[in-house]
Amino acid sequence: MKERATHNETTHGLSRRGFLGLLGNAGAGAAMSLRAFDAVADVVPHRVPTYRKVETLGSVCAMCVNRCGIRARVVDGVLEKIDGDPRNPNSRGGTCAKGQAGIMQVYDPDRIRYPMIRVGERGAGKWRRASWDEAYAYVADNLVKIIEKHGPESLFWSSTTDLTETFFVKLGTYLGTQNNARHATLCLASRNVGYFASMGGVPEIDLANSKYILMYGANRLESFELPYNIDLVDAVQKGGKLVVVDPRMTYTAAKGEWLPIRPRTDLALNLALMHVLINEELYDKEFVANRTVGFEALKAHVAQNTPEWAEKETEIPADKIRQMAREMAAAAPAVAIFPGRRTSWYTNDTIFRQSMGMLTGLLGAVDAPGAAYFGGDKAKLGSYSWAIEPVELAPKFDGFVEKFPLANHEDGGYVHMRDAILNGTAKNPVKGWMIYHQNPLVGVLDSNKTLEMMKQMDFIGVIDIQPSQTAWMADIILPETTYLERLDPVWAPASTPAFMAIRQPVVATQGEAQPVLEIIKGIAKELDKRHEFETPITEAFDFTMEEYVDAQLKGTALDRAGLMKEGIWVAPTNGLKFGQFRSGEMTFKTPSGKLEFVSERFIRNGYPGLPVYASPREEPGKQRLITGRHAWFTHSFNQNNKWLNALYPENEVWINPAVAKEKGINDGEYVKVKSSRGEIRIKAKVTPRIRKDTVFICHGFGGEKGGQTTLAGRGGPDQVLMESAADEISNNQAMHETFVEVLKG
Amino acid sequence: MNVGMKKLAAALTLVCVGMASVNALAEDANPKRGRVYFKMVCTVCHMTQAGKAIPPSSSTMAEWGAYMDADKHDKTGASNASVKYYTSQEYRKSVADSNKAAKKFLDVPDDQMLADVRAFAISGAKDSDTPASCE
Repeated sequence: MKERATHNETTHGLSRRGFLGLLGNAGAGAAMSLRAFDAVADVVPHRVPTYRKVETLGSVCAMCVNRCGIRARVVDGVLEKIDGDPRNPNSRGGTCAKGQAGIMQVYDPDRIRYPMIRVGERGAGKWRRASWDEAYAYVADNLVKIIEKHGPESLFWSSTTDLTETFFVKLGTYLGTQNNARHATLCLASRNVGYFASMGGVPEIDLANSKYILMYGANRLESFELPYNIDLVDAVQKGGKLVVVDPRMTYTAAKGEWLPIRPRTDLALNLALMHVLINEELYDKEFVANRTVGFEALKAHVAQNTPEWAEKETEIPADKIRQMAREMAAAAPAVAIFPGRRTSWYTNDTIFRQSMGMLTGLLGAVDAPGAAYFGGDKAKLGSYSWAIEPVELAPKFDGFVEKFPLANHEDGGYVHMRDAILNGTAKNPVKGWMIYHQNPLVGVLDSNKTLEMMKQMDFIGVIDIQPSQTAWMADIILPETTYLERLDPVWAPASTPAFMAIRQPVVATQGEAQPVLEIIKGIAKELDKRHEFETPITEAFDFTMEEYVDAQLKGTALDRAGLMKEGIWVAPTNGLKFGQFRSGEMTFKTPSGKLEFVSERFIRNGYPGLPVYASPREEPGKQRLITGRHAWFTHSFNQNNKWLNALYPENEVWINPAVAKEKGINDGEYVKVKSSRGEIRIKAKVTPRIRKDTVFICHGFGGEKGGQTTLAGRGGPDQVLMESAADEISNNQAMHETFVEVLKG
Repeated sequence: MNVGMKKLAAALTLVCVGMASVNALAEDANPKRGRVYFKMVCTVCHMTQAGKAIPPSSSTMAEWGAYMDADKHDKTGASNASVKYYTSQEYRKSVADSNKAAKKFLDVPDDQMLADVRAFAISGAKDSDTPASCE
């Protein structure tokens, strides 16, 4: 299919053996240990120790979504080592296993190095190398053909968050389609909508100073979110209490008190906690009186939700629930009701997250040290002035906006949109699918449905660095440069202190890969030759990345050359300021301007204003499947990375010992896991760290043999098993709604 | 009229009580065009003159309605300091050479352009269901 990398894994500084040694100490966001020097020493003999040109360049990691500050050590033009940048206020010098293994993203022999056009059946793995000119023409031909036959609403446009995603999304906009399906619809859309209802947005948490931290499922020590995974450790070391509510005992839960809740009953626990706080008058009366609305309605709503009631639902003892409420009240306002990140669990996720905002308000755990807060610092950037977007964009297919009025319409909703395509309920047939930096064949539940949808497409184009499972099914793969080979837009997140950082090329590009902006510009030229768009696409992308960055940096402390030299700029800060929301100087972004126990936004869109709990269904003899991350992988992005794969080559199904005994299953043996949607073969991990009614499978493994030779055939794909389900308000996919049978070999 | 448009119309009605002429316009207002104008004409000038964006989500629906009704664009004391002026054909013509959106919408009547911008600002207000930034 493609030429093999010219560098093998032992010629560029750090060998796999060295890397494994390096990670002997790898915990949550662990910084480099002294063992790193041993590891580097392992490979020094490969090189002549003199006459080496050594450069250290600052940049921004892209091995997950956190964008840690990195320092890339380049020797004779070869990337030898990646370290954390201690100047970065979020990552603070740490870099995890993924970050250090970024080297193998560049030198991975499986990497796509040239445009590839399919020549056999989809998925057969037969490709031919194409020139970029041919590739651009091929994509433009197909897109224009579909637009002219069916209209721009016949294009499906999906991508995952990164600094360059905006260019891909804009291309769709200029083509006239609004059929985006972005990462949030697979991950955190329900959290966003739930907090939008109660608090007007998702707050930040001053976690380092929290005295009581309640985490529902959030697994910060394996699924990093900066700076929270670092601050969490600090808070616990300072004596803060950590309570993790999760059917599975994660490494995060191991650092605190684990409450193995019955799945899909988290809302019941929240309602009972609020019941106790109100009943025992432990809530923050001043905050509730001045900064909230709907308290009396809430009081009536939770009157029946006693701890005894909740015990039957959650299987958490009533006394424990009372104890939790009392301890939280005693610690308030320094209480962190942690909002979480991936909240694609159940069909009631949005109202559960709404209740988390309500509990936060009842405790007055807002706008104070150790509590939730809004605001913080942010470096002020300029912006590039884009060409005029089309005014009349094609409507999203199958009434997504009307059916999910509070969902983020720019993010879309994968489950609804896929159903609309498969059921033919979209106004026009959807025939073209462009995918950037996303692997929906793994990331979206019920992957057999995704395969069915693919069969309906006349054209599938993928921009990626790896021959992912999705890319393998495409008609054309356009190879993108890795994050270590390109200049990206400046990044300036909300952070205290504020900072801006730049991702810049630290090594030469492998093969003929191109940055996505250049790929889009190439396609644009061919599009304009074939079709008259409202705004010519070439006009829309008539700029370089350097010009885009210059526009961002206009009026800031550093110009492009200065920021590239430093890699990062950190602003002076006075630290977090509190009190403005409590005093009323600042208002919540809700219709009332206050924290809403009864959501006006929900009511005016036809939903109940208060969260209504329903007991979960059960299927006797089966277990509920839940999924999650491993610290060494991001979604399905880097399981094929040779160094990371060596650390954890295949996933397992976690099963409780009592259930395993009943089924005659031994630890480490291969078993079948079966649902209404599919069946997989996977190794069993028999462990008391999971409830009897639940099984866990780490996401992102397995699948049919494809272009990823390291990963191929290893582990079991959870998405094959998952039934199609989505949150009722946000349309976030619901990955924990499937029951499975685990069967001996 | 779809649900989104119904909600927008309801929101506009809410903040335009007693203003029959504006309500009549609101029914035909095109918030999509208002969005493009707001982002590409209003925001470009705000960034230059005020040094910051003023997104729809910076104010409530009622505040935007009251602001538009008062029609006092800024406190500079300039004779043309009204929202009506900055959405007028006269203003658009004056910046058409340097602003593509102003040029594109040159033929849109004054009342219509004002209604479009108003509709977008209100639909993206901080207490709306779809708070909007300037990006």
